Amino acid sequence: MKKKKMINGLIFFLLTVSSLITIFPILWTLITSLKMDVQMFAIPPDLLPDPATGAHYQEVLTESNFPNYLKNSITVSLISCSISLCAGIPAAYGFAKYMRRSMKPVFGAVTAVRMVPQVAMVIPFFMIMRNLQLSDSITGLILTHIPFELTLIVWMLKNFFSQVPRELEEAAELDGLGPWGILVRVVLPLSRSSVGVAGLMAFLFSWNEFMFALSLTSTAKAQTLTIGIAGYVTSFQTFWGSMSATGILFMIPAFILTFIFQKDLVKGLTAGAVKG
Amino acid sequence: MRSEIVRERRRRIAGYTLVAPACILLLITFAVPLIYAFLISISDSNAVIDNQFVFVGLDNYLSVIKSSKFQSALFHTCFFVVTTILLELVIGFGIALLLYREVAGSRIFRLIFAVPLMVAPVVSGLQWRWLFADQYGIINHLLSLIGIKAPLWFTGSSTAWVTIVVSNLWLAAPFVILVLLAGLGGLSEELNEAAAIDGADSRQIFWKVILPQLKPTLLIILVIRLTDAFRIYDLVYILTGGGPGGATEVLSTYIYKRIFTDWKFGQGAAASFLVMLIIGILSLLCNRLMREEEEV
Repeated sequence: MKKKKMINGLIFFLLTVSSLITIFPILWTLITSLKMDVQMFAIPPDLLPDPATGAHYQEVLTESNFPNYLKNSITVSLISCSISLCAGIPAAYGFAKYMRRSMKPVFGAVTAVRMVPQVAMVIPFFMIMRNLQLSDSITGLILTHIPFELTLIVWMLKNFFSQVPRELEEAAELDGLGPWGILVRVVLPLSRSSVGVAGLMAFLFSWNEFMFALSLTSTAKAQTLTIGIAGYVTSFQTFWGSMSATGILFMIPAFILTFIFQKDLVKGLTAGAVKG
Repeated sequence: MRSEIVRERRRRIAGYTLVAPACILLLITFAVPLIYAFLISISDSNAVIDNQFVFVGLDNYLSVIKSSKFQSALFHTCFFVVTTILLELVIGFGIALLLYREVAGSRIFRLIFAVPLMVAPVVSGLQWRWLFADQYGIINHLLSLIGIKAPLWFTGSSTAWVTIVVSNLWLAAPFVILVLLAGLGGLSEELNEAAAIDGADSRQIFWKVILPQLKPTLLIILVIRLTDAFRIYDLVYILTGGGPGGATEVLSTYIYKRIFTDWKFGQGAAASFLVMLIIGILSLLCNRLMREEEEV
């Protein structure tokens, strides 16, 4: 018994140390964002801001392009995520319950998209946007995010939908509902949390996306937050205070969403890879 | 009989209408650009910029394969993929096993380990750049406290790699931890107990009982992390930009530079297809392994 207590104590200690290491980078960013510029470059570094200042946040929120970037990020993420959900949910249901032999290669292609590196799409997207006059536009950016989010959603939800018991659907069919009616009235209410996680993953893809934004946008008109924050690192100087403040503001929505969906997160991470 | 045929037909049509919107969207936003990219990969780069195709066969592919820059980027990427996945698995397994034993505060620990999952690679890269900073960096300060003279991380090629691997580990290990933990949760207690009764010690139980049962979970992790690690871009761009002197150039940064530094669209597209080929072969291998696993 005593030995067991010691082992548990040891485990607790190891977990505490490793979770401190995990949380430290974010904590340090928070601390940096609250320091005055003078203190930031103290050698050796001071552990706590003294005095703490909100100046960087004020500067980011009022004197930089942050509100613009934020607006663009929210617009791109929300619209691309909504379009992908609208097309992805019925597709996932179709692949789960109405699969026929002729549809199998199509589903194979959908999952293969997940393996395509983003950089491979940079050239065609760049050329197409230039020819369609969509360079440096939010519309262009949304279009590039859709294939990646859509396939992620189909891939994740197909397995959830396969698990819906056949009997439920048959009962609904007897009540005169068609496939779309069954999907909307029976299947969706049953899989709200799964759809939520799929939506979250798609949203985060867009929210965190960097390469397309880097190659397809050039002005604050269409640039997103990832570009905005990377812009604080210039070849001459890095604005660590503003960068840290932006970083913290940038992470808040992701944290809130994670907190809401934490229970279903793991399901979402592996779904699709597990054969249903 | 008739109604059966009608129903069958309705079901078939239903299947097509359900997947049609997604397929049309993918055709426009993905298939067409991909075919376009392939045409670019077999045509002359200068012509492409002027919106024309002058086909040159496999020239672009050959010049990419022969170029030493591509070869070293490929080598760097493979080195990175192997290193990071090994470390992710070892650390991820360790922490997952610790979390598996419910101790006080398990729930909070779990939440903390999930946090980096949601952080953008760009933000993570910037954070670590500041943590690894030469004079003002907290890491070098902490190292000096225990008497280690810290290197200038971003000027040496091996230390630059350390910053990339560490930042990536911070981002990706949580995924491995959470998925393994879910896998551990699905294990049969009875097998463990039976093995313990048969006199197996905990090391034997881990290698002979727990690990074989986790094989499907480990393969899933492998497939997902492999394809992810292979296309690493954001972190390298932010931390080292491929430097010093090309020492941390990976495939994605190599391709990006062929496009926007050299304006060699043809070669960039050819290199992209080569990378897709490699990723495709690797995931086919993993899938084959997974299928064998299911048949056993």
